[in-house]
Formats: sequence, structure tokens, C-alpha cells
Amino acid sequence: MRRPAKGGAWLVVASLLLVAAPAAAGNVPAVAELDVYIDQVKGLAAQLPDPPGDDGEIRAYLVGCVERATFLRDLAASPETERPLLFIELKRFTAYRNGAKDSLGKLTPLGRRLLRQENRKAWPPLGHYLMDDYVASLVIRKALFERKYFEEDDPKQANLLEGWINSRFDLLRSRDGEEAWYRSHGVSAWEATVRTEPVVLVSHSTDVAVLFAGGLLYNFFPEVGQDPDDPFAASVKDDLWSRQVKRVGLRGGAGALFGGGGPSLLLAAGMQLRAISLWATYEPEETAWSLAVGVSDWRWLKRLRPILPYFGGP
Amino acid sequence: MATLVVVTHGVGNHPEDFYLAWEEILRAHHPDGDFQVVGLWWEDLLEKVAEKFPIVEDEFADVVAAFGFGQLAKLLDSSTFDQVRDFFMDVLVYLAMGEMTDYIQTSVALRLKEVLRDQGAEAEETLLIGHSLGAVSLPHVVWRERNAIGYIPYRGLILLAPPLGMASPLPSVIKDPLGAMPGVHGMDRLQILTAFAREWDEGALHLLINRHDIVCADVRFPVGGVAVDPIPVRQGFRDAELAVLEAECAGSVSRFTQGAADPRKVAANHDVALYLQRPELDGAFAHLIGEAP
Repeated sequence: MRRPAKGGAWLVVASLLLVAAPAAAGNVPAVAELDVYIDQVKGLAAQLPDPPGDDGEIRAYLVGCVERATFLRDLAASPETERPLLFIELKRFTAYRNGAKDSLGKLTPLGRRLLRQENRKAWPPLGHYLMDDYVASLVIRKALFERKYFEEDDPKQANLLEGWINSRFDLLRSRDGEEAWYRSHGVSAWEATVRTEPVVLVSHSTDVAVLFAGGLLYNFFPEVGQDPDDPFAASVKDDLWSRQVKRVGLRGGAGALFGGGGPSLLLAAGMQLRAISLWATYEPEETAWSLAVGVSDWRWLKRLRPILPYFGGP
Repeated sequence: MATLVVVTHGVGNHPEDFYLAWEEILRAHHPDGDFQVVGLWWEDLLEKVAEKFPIVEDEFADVVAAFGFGQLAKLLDSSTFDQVRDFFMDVLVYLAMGEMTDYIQTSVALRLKEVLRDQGAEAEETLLIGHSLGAVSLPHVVWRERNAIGYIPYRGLILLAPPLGMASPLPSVIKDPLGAMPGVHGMDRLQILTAFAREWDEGALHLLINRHDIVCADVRFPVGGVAVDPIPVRQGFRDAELAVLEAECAGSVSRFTQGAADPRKVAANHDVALYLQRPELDGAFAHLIGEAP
């Protein structure tokens, strides 16, 4: 809206963009196309008996589609409506239709036929406008998943428990179309880790321990979009955080310390930066505190090899 | 214009040109058909995830055995059992590794769009055929597209030996193949099947199920004179689920019996070549490529 009629309009538009920012806001349906859809669906609803009897649900669905399409049509007809807003409303209409279709109960043969005609004949010219956005979202989500799970700093191997936890909780799992400060195109920047890893004490002793550790990490995602030369490829732009820090988080664990007197219990709390964790450790038997360093990706050992002798390593 | 036929493989070690063998059979059965076959290869994605979660191949195999697969191991020779185990391991890789399901679906969906772009084809003139686990990933992919654009744009979908009826013994940990359809939170199996079947024109959705294929049916093998189902999880659709598919999209399910209910025939009864040569497929395929009856 170039000149909002009311003072809060800009706020509304801004919040809409925040809630459902499209991956690629392309063309939007013209008023004439929306009129065609509305006429077709009204025609389908007119085929229902009055009262609709067992076809009440399909009637409500068709009427709801006409109402939504009319709202969209009026929006499209307004010279003040900007394209991104219209696009977002088209996506909302689509989400409404999907939900309404999924919640339809038993249909009569007539109801099924009318639903098919609305879905397979009337809707596609409108739904087609969302195709570019769909492809863009695939490109971007794939790139984000690969950054989160398959980049060099992430351990090459994970485990079932991690997989389960990361798919179990809303904070951690991806959500199609859902935006939040910690999400990028629905992919959550948070990630739980549950791993067994070696640590080397670096103060008071140079003993080695193995910890069973859990953690909550935050991934700094790069800015991801479609490559201008190839819409099926991702264009990834790192900032300082996503390039240098990549991931950071807090961890806690317990394990066995292998000192001179045999294994003993070791408790630890720490902070992870990329694949390296710095631990504050506590030995209950000795009531001794220490510092330790660990790596969640064993390949980092190769990089650390030159300095490991200073910490009791090979 | 020629119909683009995109075929998707299931489990096993498939080369990128796996589709050539499929095309040979389809051409033999439809010599006058105007169609072009291309493959949607996704073996590398399954391997990538399996490598990331190696526990599936190691300790988790013991867990699967604990579910009662030990009986199956006794019935099958070691080679066949390995094939069956690999199938269930691939299903686990696809369904049990958290966000990896989303990652694989997203990647396969993108590849499908790339195939169409490369072939210069529209979705409306494209027929999709999936076998085995490919007959799970394709419904997931088209459902993701439907969630985004409000309809499924493809001309038709043929699912050969679909393990979509499989029921997870621990659905809160490992989703059912149906439960892994994107965006079906709060829907039960019948609601998912109803909504999915309604998205297709009549004659556009076909599921081919061999009653003697353990991947998509609960086969009973004769053991000591008694018919025994050696797999402790349900693989086939329930009768109520088949009825829903049939009611919502008439003619969408074809069940037949081919091959003996013999443990030695487990692999043969699931073979894609068996399905590609079935008369039920001939009819569905001819209809969807617009071939004259």
C-alpha cells in the first residue's frame, strides 16, 4: 500500500511479511483470472440441491472458497495493493483451501465430482502462480539443511537419538512456511546434540576422559537465495558469524576420567564453538575442578595434532 | 506431445541409468505409445543419510531383530534376508532420522522439478511411477507440492509395490510412511488417504499390490503346515484403508497374486519387472499416456 488509509496499515503489512515471507514473490493473478475462478466455483455450488442435505460440507467449502477469492479479487482490484501483499494473501488462501479440503468428511458422489472440478479445473490457473515460490523454497531449504547437517564442521556421523530429538521438539525441527527469529525458511537454527566424545584435561593434569554429552547448539545460517543464473541452485552469502563461528552452544555431560588410579566419574559443563568444546570439569571423588578441551568431530584431531602434545595427547 | 514418464526406484543399489531397464519393458508393452521415460534417481541421498546415521546399519539392526524379525531370518536364506533387511533399513533411514525425512523429500522434490525443466515438460503432461520406497517418496513429494500450490499438477501417479500401508510399531519414534506425508499433523491414516485420493482425477491414481510381496502385503508363508506371517509389523493396507482409496478414487487399487508364497521367492515377488509386466499396469499406463484402448 503506497498510502495507507490508516496509521497502522504499515504495521499490518510488515507483520504479514514477517509471518509468511515468500521465498520468491513472482507474478500474481489478475482480477480477470480471479473473476473466472469465482464464477466457476459459484457455478459448481449452484449444482447442489437446496437445501444441500448430505452435501452441506462441500457447499460450505465452495462458499468459503468464493468468499476468500472475492476478498483476494477486491485486493487485486485496488490500485493501492502492492504485489507482495497480494502474493501473501494468495498463499493464505491456498493454506485455507488445503486445510478446508483436508477436513472435509464423507462426500456424496456429487460432492466428490464438484470438489474435483474446483480442485483440478478451477484452481490450477491460480495455484500455478505459486510454483516459482515453491521451487525457491525447495532450493533454499535444501541448502539450509545441508549447512546444518552436512557441512564440514558437523560430525560426519550422528546417531538415532539426535535424529529423534531434533524431529521431536518444535524449537528444533523444521516447519514448512513457519517463520520465527530462530528460523530461516522454516528450518530451525537450533540443534540438539547427544554424543560421546573424548576430552583432554588442560589444567592440574593432562588426563584423558570420555564424556557422554548433550548440548543445545545455535547455527548461524547464511543468507540463502536462488542463484540468479540458475533458479535450481542456491546462492549462499555468508556473513562473519556464519562463516567464522558457524555454531555455538552450551553442553553438559558425564563420563569417565582415565587417570593413574583407574577410571573415575567426571562431570562437565561446557561451551561449544564450531566443533570444539571447552569444558569445566569436576571429579566428585577428588572434589577437583579442572578445564578440558574436546572435539565433537574427530576429524578435527588431525588439525589439533600439532598442539596435542602440549595437552597430553599424541 | 509425448507424455513424460518419470520413474523412481526403490531400495537397493541402483545406477543413475536404472530407468533404461524400465523403459525397455514399457516400450515392449506399448510399442505405439507416445512417451519418453526419464529416471528420478535418489540413491545418493539415501546413502548420504545412511552414512550420517551409521547406527542404522549397526546396532539398530539388532533392535529391528528384537521386534521379531528373527523368525524371518530363519525362513529366508541369508542372501534374501539381507535384501529384506536392507529394505527395512532404507525405510528406517528415510523415516526415522528426524529432519532427514524432510531433507530427502525436499531434495527429491527439487530433482523432480529439475527433471521437468531439463525435459521442457509441464507437470500436467507428466506421469509419475514409483516402485517400493520410491512409491513412498513420490506421494510425499507431490503432497509437499500440493501443500505449496494448492493442487497436484501431475497427470497421474502409479505406485508399484507401495509400502504406504506399513504401520510403525513405534509411531512416536518412527513415523508410518503415511504419517511422514508433509503437513498432515492431526490427521489419522484414513483422513490422509481420503485427502490424498481426492486430489486425483479418476483414473489418475493407481496402486499395484502383489499379495505375495512382503513389502506391500502381509504374506503368510507355510511353516510346518501352518500359514505364518513372519514379519511383526503390518505392511499391507487394512481393508478399511483400501475401501477409502477405492471410494474416493474409483479403480485406484489393483491387487493381484503372482509368485509363490515361498520364502525363496521374496525378492522375485517384489521385483519391479514383475510389476511392469502386469496387465493392470498396462491398462493404467495406456490410459494415462492417452493411448487408444
